[in-house]
Amino acid sequence: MNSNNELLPFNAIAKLSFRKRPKLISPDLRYFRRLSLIILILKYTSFKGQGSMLKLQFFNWAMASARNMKLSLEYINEPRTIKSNIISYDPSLQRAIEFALGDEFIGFIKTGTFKLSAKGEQFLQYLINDETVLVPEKEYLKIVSTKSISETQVESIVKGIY
Amino acid sequence: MQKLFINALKINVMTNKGKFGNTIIFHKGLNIIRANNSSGKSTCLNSILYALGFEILLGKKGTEALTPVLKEQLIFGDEVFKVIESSVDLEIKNSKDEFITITRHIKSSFDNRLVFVSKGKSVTGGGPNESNEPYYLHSVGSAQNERGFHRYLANFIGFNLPTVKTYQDEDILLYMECIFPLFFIEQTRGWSGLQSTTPTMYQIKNVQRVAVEFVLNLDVSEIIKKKQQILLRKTLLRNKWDSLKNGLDYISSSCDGLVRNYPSHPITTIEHRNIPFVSVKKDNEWIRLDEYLIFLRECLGNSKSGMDVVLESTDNNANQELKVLKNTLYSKQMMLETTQELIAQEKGAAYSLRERIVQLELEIKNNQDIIKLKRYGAIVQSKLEQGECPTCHQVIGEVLLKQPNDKEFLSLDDSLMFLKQQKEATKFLLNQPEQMLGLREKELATLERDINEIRIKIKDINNELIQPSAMPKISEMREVIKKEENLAKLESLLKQFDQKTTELYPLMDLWRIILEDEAKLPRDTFSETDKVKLKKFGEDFTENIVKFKYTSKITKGITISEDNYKPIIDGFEMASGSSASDNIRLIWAYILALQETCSQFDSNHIGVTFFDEPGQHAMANVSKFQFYHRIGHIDRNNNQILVATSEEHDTLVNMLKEIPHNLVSFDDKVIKPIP
Repeated sequence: MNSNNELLPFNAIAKLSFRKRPKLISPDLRYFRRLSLIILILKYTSFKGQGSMLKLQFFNWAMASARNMKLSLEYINEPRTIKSNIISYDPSLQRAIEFALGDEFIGFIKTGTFKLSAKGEQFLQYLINDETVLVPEKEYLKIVSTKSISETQVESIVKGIY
Repeated sequence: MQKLFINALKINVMTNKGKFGNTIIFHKGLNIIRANNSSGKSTCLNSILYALGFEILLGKKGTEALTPVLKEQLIFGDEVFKVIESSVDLEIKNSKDEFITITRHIKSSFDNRLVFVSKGKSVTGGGPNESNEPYYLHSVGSAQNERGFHRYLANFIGFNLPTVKTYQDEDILLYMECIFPLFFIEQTRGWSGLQSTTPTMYQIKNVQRVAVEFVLNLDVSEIIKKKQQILLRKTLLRNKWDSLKNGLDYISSSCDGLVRNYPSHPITTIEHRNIPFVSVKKDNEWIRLDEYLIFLRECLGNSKSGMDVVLESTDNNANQELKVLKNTLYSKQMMLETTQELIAQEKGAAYSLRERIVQLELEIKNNQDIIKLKRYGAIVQSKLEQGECPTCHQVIGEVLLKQPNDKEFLSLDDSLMFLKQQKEATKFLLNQPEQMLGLREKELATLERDINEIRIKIKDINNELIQPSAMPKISEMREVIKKEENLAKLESLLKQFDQKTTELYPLMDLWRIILEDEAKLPRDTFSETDKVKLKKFGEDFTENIVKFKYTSKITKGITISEDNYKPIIDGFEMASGSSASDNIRLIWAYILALQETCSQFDSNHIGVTFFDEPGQHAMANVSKFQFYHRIGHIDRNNNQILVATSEEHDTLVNMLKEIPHNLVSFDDKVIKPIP
C-alpha cells in the first residue's frame, strides 16, 4: 500500500472539481449550412425553384456524405437498384425548413411545396458567386440538375416502389 | 427257441401256524392250471407276473395287485392263518438255455421293489442259491438303469428295446410293461379288449402299435425313423446349401457382382462348366469375373509401360540437410506470418487515423463555409444571423437542435480552432504507425528473401535426391495405383469365391449319401419282410377266427390294419360291435396268431402266452375245444402256453383228449401247507 501511495498522487487529487465545457457540434447541425443546402436544392432540382418536403429530405440525405451522393446518383439513374429503407429522414432538416420559412428565405406556394423567396434568390446569388463555399455540394447538384427530376420520380425513389 | 421259458413257480407263505405254499413245474407247449374258483389259480399266474415285475398289468402296483392270501391271511379248511412272511420264486430260462431264479418278496422286511436274481435252478435244482443279485423295480429309470430289473430282464430275454416318443416328444426306451399285455391275458380286464391292460402312465405315443411292432419285430418303426432322419438330414443340407449361396452372394456383392449358375437345389454332381461363378458388369455387359480380371490386367499393363521410374534416395547427408532446411523454412514462414499480421495492424491504425484527418478537414472546411454563409445571411438580413427567432423574436441559437441551447456548444470560431488542433494531433499520431510500418516492411522483405533462398535450396536437394528425368505424372501414377488396388481386390475376391465354392463338393457328397440311404429304404413305410409278416399274421388270425366259430361278421377279407395292427374287416375294426363271446374269440385268435406268426419269423415274442380263464362268458364248448385244440397243437419246441381255468376237471380232461398238454389240477386250494 505504501509503495502505491508513493507511486500514485492520491493525496494530491484528494479533491476533484469538474467544469462544464461547451461541446463541439457538427457543421451539419448549423443553420446556415442547412439553409444554404435547402436553397441550392430548390434552385438546382427544378426550373421554378420549388420542391416538396420529400424532395428536400431526399437530397438532404443525398448530400450528407460523399458516399450518399454517389449512391443517390445511382438511384436516380437506375431506380431499380434501390434497396428499401436506405434513405433516412432528418428531423434537423425540418427545423431548418421552419427557420428558413420564418427567416423568409422560402415560402409556400401550396401545402407541402416550398418555393424560393426573393430573399432566398438574393442569398442564392451569393452562394453561387462564391466559388470557395459548398464546393462538392454545388458540383453534385449541377449533375443532378441535368437530370430534371420530377416530384413523382423522387417519390418513387424514396418509397422504393420501382 | 423261445426267448422266455417258464420253468417253475414256487410260492412261499410263512404263517403263524407253519409253512404254506406250492410249486408248479411247467412244460413245453400247453400247460393248464385247473382249480375251482377262488382257490388260487389266478394267484399262480399273477405271482408269475409279480415275479417278473409286471403286476401293473393287474391294475395295481406292488403287493396291492396280489390277493390277500399272499400277504394278509389265508383260510385253509376252516382255519384262518396269518401271513407273516411271503415270497415268490420263478425259475425261467432264456433262448441260450441259461436258467435264473427270480425271487421277489411279498410280505417281508425287504422292500417289495427289490428283486433278487440267482443264477441256476433254485426251485427245481433244489435249495436257495447263494448268489443273489438285487435289482429294483418301479422307480425312475428301472427300465434303463443298470440296476433296474427290467433292464436286466430285457437283456436276459434278448430284447433290444426300441426308443419311442412320448407325448412330451422325449425319446425313451419302450417299457416292457407295455409289451406284456400281448403275452398275458388277465382274468378280468384282459378280456375286455386287445391290449386292454397296456399301461398309459408312460405317456408313450401309440403305445399299443409300437408294442405290436416290437413284438412282430417290424422294420416299419425303424423305417419311419430313418425316413424322418433322412428328411431332417435333407433339410439340414438344404439349409447349408442355401447358406453357402448367401456366403457367395456376400462375397460377390463386394464387387457388385452376381453369383451365376448356383444350383437352387442340392445336387450330387456338377460338371465343370456348371460350376458357379461371379459375373460383373463391364460397360453394359455382364461378363465372368475371371475374364474381367484378364481385361483389367491388360489395361494395367498398358498403363504401366513407360512408367518404370525408380525413385531412390541416395544421400543420407542430403536428407539430413533437407530436414534442417525444412525446419528453418517452417520457422521463417511463421515469422513472416507474424510480421504480416503486425503490418496489417499498423496499416489499419494508420488508415483510421488518415480517415479521421480527412473527416476533420471536411469539418474545418464546412465550418469555414458557414462563417462565409453567415456573412451572406447578414447581408440579406437573416434574423437568425442576429440570434433572434424570426417568428417570436426570442433569442435562439443557430443550431438545429432543441432550443435554447446555445451555450452548450462551441462557437464557430472556437470550433474551427478545436478542429484544427485535433487535425494536428491526429497528424502527429499518424507518424508512429507510419514509421513502424516502414520498419516492418523492411523486416518482411528480408524474411521473404530468406524464405525464397531456402526454398530454392530445398528444391535443389530434392532434385538431387530423385532422378529428375522421366517422372510420370502424378495423376497417371494415381490411376495405375487405383487400378492395381482394384485388381488385387478382385483377385482376392475371386480366390475367396473359388475357395467358398469348393465347399459345395462335401455338400454334394453328403447329398448323394442321403439319396443313397433314402433309396435303400422301401418306398412305403413297410419293408418286404414286414408285409410278409403282416400277411401271415392276417392269415393266421383268419384261420383262428374261423376255427373258433366267430359269428358276428363274415370271416372273409380280414386283414391286419397297417395303422394299428388290429384286425379289420372291410376297413372296420373287428372288435367294434362284436358280441361279448366273439370278442373273447377275437382275443384268442389275435393273441395266438401273433404267437404263431412270430414263431415263424425273427421276432420279439417271448414265446409264452398266459391265458387266465379263457372260457369267459359261458363260451360255447365247441369254441373252447377248438381253442384248446389250437393251443395244444402249437409248435411245442418254440412255444409255451399257460392257461388258468376253473373248468370242471372231467369236462376239461374230456376236452383235452388227443391234445398234448400238461394239466396241473387242484381239487382244493393251491396254497396249502407244506410239511
